Amino acid sequence: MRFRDLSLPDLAAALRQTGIFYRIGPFSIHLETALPELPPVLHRLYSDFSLLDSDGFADFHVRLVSPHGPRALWRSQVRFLIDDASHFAPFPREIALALLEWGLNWCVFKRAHQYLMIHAGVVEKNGHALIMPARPGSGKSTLCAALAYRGWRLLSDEFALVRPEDLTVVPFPRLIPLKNESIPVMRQRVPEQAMGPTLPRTRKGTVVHLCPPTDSIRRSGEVARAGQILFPTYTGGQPLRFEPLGKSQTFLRLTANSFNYEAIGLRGFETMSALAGHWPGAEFSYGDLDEAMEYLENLLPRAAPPAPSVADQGEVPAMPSR
Amino acid sequence: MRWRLNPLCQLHWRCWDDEYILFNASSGQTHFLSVLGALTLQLVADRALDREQLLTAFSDRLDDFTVDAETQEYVANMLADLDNLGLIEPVP
Repeated sequence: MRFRDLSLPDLAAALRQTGIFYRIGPFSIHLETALPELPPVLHRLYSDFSLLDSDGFADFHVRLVSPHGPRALWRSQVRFLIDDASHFAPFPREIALALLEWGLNWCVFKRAHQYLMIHAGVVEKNGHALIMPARPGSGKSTLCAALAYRGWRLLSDEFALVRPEDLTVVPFPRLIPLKNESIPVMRQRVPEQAMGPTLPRTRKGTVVHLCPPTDSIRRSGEVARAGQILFPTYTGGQPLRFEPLGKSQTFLRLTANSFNYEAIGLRGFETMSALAGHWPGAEFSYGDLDEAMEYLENLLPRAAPPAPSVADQGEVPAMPSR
Repeated sequence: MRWRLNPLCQLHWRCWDDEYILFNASSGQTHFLSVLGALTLQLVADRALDREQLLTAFSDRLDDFTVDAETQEYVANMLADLDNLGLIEPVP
């Protein structure tokens, strides 16, 4: 059953009474909220996501509540609770959807240490995952969104969840948070696609959430092999630049963009060095979205990549000797 | 003063294009090492060596290494750095 199979009144009642259980990629989420403005937004934006039978188990038990107290008298706010504990300051209520999405990111970032987590957009074509680690503001979400609506499968616009045992990337397709200048860009490109309300004055500026393509949600159980690592930067008006990096530089840049490289110890080192060793990355800066997408279309091989080895690449390197 | 590998280290190496990446599972730290740094760790893992013995070993193994005031100072600083990182220690 999917969100769209519930009527809006039933969805609102379930959210208010017992909460709903749903799946995004490998994670199950239990969400409860009595905020009346959220069910219509979720009904529309989450329409293709799967609802789960409520057996009580979920990876994350989440509640969005409107806090009481004197502050509520002059400023309406919303609080994100995980296992009934609050870890963030309340947000203005008009950006409750952004708080839900960012809060779920936080849950994954804090708990999903079975994966090596890299702050990266990931899209897939012909069996190759294109991993694009980048800092906020680099244009990663826009590039991911544009590629996703050009026939690539969206795995995530935020997390590369890499399985240490086989270096595959686990899909985690979420709503894509478009920010500021990227909002009109994507509205023009995919005017027919569902987008959330305009959320003004968030910490990242104005945000609008774009639904991922239905096919990406439907195939969120299919992992993908890494095929290329790119570090993208949007440089408006500048010519496209593709500059290959060495393995060490790739390793360094990947670790700088990882959420949990240090936390998972040797497993993190082995996984990260296997990624950098098999797929040395490249700097990729672009000033024109269409030109960038055309370039990327031709970058990956047509055939699916072979399975790489995660085996140790030599405990002690050979040293010079005469 | 002679130096040896810190016996608490659990080292995992990667070597790409003369750049050495070292993960010390005991500390959880990752280090990027030059050829000299990596060679030092390997030499003192076999047996404790002082700075003069290390300089001789570098001259024997590396074509473009010559012992002069500059390289002596460099190696002294490098040994201090490796000590600070907990990778080597002085032999009592």
